[in-house]
Amino acid sequence: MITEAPSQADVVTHVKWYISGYTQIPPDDIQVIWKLSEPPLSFDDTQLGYLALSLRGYVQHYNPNETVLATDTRKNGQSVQTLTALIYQKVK
Amino acid sequence: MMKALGRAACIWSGVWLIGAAAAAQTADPAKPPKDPIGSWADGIGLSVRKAFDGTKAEKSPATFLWVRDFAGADKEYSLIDLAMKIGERDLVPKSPSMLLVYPVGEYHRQTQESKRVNTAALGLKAEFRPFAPRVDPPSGSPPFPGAGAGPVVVPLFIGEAKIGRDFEAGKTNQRYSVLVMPFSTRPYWPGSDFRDRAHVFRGRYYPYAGVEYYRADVGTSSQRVEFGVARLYAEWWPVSSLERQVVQLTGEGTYRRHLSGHLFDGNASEISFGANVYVDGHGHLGFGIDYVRGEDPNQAFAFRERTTAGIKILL
Repeated sequence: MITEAPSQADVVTHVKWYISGYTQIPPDDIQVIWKLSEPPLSFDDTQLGYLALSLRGYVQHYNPNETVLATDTRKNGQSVQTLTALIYQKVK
Repeated sequence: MMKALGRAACIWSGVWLIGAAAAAQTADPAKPPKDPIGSWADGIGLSVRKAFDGTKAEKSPATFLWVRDFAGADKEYSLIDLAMKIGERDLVPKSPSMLLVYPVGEYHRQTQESKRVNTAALGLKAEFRPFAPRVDPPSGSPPFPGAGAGPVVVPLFIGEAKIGRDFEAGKTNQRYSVLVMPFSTRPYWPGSDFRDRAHVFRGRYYPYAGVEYYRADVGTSSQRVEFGVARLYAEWWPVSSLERQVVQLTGEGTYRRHLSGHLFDGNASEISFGANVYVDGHGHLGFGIDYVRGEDPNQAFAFRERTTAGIKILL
């Protein structure tokens, strides 16, 4: 059974949902320009590794041939916007 | 020595005030502050810390200190605590688990005559995440049924193998360790965030437990020791805003229970506290002060009590 790929707007919503789960900041309050390892999100490397693992499950639900690595989330300057763009390329 | 610490304290207090002013600035959310230092480091896959040894030093910036002590026996001395890792590789990239391995290098030097330190080490480190934790956002719907499912608390295993050289003593040493740490996304649980009502990040804590093995040259032979280890790390950010993290307070306690071997007889313990002010507001560059007391595993468990202040770099 093929799972239909989400739209880019849906991916933004979904990634915010996961980030909200780690930070407890409501998804609607998360701005796409925010960087993962800087305030307000303030993820550390340990959390970013687990965020990558959570998003790996998300990506592989739509595209089992793709994956998400810790280097994807730990990249300096990675923002919600650039992360969602990366995730969208993997699920479409 | 006291004059040097006094000057350092004055400098640090001044930076604190600058940092508080920086935190009070209202940033334009449409134009986030640029981060050229972090971007450069990411370009070459470089991470810089105080140490990569499973302690709070991994979350502490590297330290570079030069002291001019007009009244002390040592008129001038330097202190360097630096650790780097370049690159990391996931050995099971498409698995529901994550196994990261990466090389690390460390250099620690202190030229104060009564406490000379000159050590370097190279090693391999691994992080194993068996599965992802449960994700429970405060609002919103999961992308699909079962998304974000998982245990409330998951383990993180950290393994390390390191070979070092003490250039002052002319000795070689080895260190192997396996630690496990619980992690959760649930607020106030290990690894999760403390946030205030405005969602400003304020702190987190990590408990660890595991075993450590040390082997070092002693005279013409080598000796070893094994410990059971319990450790608690915590950090607090009292001066921060939604856009800037300025002042970081850290604390850590480590208890090593002797299991076997004679490199060190008896139990060992360490406590350390730190305070850092990040002038860039991103946690990359700033000034700080550190206090540590206890048996130093990097110096054959020699007891030391030390306060230092200097430049901090964390990438």
